[in-house]
Amino acid sequence: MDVRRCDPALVSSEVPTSLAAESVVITGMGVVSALGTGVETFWRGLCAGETGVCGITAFDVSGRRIQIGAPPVGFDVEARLSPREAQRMSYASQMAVVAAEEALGQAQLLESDERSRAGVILGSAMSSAAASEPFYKRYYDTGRVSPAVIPMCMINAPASSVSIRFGLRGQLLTIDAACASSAHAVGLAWQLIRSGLQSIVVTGGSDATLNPVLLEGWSALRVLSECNDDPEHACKPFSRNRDGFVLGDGAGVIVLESESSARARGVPILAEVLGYGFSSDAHSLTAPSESGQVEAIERALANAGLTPEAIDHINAHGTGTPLNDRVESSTIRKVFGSRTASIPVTSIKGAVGHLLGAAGAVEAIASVKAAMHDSVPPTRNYEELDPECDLDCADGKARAVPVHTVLSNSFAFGGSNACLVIGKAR
Amino acid sequence: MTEMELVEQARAVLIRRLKVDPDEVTPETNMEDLGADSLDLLTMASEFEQVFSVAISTKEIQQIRTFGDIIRQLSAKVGSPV
Repeated sequence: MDVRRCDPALVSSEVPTSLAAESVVITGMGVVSALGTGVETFWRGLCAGETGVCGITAFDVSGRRIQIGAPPVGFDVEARLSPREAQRMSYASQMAVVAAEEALGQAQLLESDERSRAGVILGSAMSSAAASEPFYKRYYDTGRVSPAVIPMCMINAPASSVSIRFGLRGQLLTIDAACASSAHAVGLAWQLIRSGLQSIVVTGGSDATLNPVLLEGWSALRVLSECNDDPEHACKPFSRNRDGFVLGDGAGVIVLESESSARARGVPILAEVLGYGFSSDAHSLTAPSESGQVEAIERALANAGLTPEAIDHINAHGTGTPLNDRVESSTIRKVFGSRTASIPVTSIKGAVGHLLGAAGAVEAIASVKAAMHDSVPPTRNYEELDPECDLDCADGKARAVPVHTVLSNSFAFGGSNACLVIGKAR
Repeated sequence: MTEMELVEQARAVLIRRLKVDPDEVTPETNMEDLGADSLDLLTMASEFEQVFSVAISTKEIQQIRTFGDIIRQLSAKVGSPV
């Protein structure tokens, strides 16, 4: 039974008529992350309270302020891509293709001609800068640059790689909205399907930022955890002793489909995207704003046709910085009022790092799994109560509770806010 | 480096970054009054580290309110090995 639409207290009476359109469902998901490659491996690790944060070994970080990160695990490029394919793709493109293959496989589209009508809308924030680093180095060392710099480093490279690899001929776009990129990508895909312009969209995000230059840049911003001696306990979202986040590389890909298309194809429906909300803080390049975040959440709920009472679980942006977590906590209290203490709030950034342009999609996937299994994953490394972050931070073990509807927040540098409302499949 | 040289070099970083007149920058000047936000402070801290060969911690950056705070922090560090 879909409790959301049967209980008058949960249903908003103000559903915009322009959005009265068919439902948007999820039929496939794929993940590359520090907890593993593959959604089930990722989900098992999340629920077990594991972390993929570790000391960086891919390049020399000795003497540097930041020496930890969350690189993907189980990501065997040689087993998944031919040498020629891999050579033409940036790291983010490779991860996007591998995650997309899992998602399309689950959606039963890999062998189906139906996939040609699918669009691709992915989010990415730093992958272009990361991919271009060796090309800049070669130029300053030798005066020469490979022509591959252009197709490999263009921001649309991961989305294009997915489109080409799997023959997806619909809309092809990349969204860059910093840490909210892939949440906005999912939101835009949702809008396209509701409008009837597309019936299937492969969406989500892929991002890579763990390279020497970008790591130093992030380090200079003083937003990263300096727990180099204890990486497994770095990034403590909402905890009083939090000191910043850990950068991670990864990809999350979701197959969104109109409900009528999914039912016509007879493919299992995993969950539903009920709503998408957005706003811009118009405030600061780096500091968040409560009013902007509140607006995005309220818009997401309104677009879902639901009241705040409908939300059973929140997958927070929860970066683990003093400022984000304080402002997000205040935002949650503003929207949910007296119900705040009864809504378990999880941040997965202590487990997989901050995936930047891919964060929103991977966190949406965690939200889908929570709804599928009635299970709230723990907030890894939550240790001490901060009175300014007085939430139920889902610490300890995974919690078995009914999860019909999840709010997933993404709040970005530059003030772009994106919120998704995910619902259990009907 | 004399105290005066340190003050002038630090003032030069501020003026370059914040696009203010030299006589607006005194030890009592509040950084907010000069229009400096957190990103300005972080960028200037990075430049101070390079110019003076010192390390400035995140906590010290968060404690900066005035140009005088900057001078005091740098004076305590200049001459100490990084």
